[in-house]
Amino acid sequence: MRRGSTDLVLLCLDDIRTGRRTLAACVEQYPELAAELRSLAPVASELRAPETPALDPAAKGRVRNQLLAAISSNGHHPAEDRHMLASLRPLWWRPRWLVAIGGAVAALAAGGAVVYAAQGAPPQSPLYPVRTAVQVVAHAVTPPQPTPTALPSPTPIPAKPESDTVVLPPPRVPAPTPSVGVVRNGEASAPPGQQRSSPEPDRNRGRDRDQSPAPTPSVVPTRGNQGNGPSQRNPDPRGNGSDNQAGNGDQGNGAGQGNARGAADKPGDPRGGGERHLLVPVTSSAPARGEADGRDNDSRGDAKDRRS
Amino acid sequence: MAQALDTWTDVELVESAKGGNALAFAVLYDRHADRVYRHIAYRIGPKPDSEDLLQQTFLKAWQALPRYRVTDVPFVAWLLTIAHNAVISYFRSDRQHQPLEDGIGRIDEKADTPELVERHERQERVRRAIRALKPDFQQVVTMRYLEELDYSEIAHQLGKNEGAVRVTVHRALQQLRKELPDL
Repeated sequence: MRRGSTDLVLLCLDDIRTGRRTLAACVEQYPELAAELRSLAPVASELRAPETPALDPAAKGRVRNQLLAAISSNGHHPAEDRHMLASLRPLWWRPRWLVAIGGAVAALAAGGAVVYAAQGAPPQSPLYPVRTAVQVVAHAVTPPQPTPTALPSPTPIPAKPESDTVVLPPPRVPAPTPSVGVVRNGEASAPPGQQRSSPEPDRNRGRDRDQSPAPTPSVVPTRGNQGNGPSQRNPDPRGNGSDNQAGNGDQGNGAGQGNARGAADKPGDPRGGGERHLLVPVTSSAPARGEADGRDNDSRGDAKDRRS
Repeated sequence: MAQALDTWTDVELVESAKGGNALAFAVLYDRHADRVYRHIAYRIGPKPDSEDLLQQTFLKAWQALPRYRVTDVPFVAWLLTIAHNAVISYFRSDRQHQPLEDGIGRIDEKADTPELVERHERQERVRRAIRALKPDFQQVVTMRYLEELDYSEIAHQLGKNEGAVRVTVHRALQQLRKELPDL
């Protein structure tokens, strides 16, 4: 029988039981259901709640007292059950914000552990990519190193091989800030905006790569640059052509080594190196003044040749 | 306290009982004990076992109260479900607990009029026919025609849709018709 006919039969039976309609009225209204209605109407009419027995008041009170006694004695307290269930809930049932914080802390701890473990990873190690990635990120987020200032006194550091000298070209426009680059492990990098302005540093850099790690250089102010102020002009008419060898505050080895090519200024050049620093490797003894000058001259000559 | 609780709704009493208020649960008992007892007694007969099952039903309800969600079904429908399961367990637990042949309202043939006696006999036959039905048919017939629950309430209680409940009631009535051919 279809759902619709079922609903109609039950509706008619309910109306017959409650007296709202008679069997004849239902049969007249739904003649297709006449047989079904005539069959079920007597049964439905006999199903009446008032005919069922009622609970004796005395029995009701007795059961009530027994129920309350059982509730108070059996220890099954709804609230206790609820607290017990709450204590047994797994972690993912806890508030979501707590789970989120815990997950974030766990992720940070795991990431930190991986980074820490990758610090000394050899190239064959699966953690080596992590190490390189960390280095890349560190380079990206590290701000440019501040302008190296002259050391108060030369540091007794072993002499540095010539090939470690890295000279970056001077900027094409006078820069208000000192153009001091950074060289690390034979890799030269100029301050932003100056990198690879000339092919010369690249060549030097290529040479540097072939060299063993350079000793730590220090920046020594040249003679005409004693003020060390970035905006100081070099009053020396000889130019101290290597004064303007672009920065390389860390490992620049350049001045006086003859490879300050193309970067030397002419004497009195307004682009001059008043703002530059001479980077020389600090050896056990500071370079002689005249020696440095002579080399400066040589380097200046090199620079002229290259310009031509 | 009890008088104040009498004015509470079932929902308020249930929430209070969930918090451990036994008096609130006692008020729920006072309200629904008659209906639950009728449901039980119609199935097993008016005997002391019905009172025991009544007490068992409310005790189980108290223990399961934390799992009861107010928004799902009316509290009385939830009680009737527990009572239905208690009756089934009652018949399964001991085979000697067979439905009694004596009627609900035992007929006093000396005191009652012939019409009343005939009506009692007819009711007794209907009750036997209901007991002969499958348990799910018994349940829906009892809930619909003795407890006067709406189809929607029955559907909520049984976890079915209303159409399925209507079909089940209709089939139960057809089965009853077969059990009562001369009615």
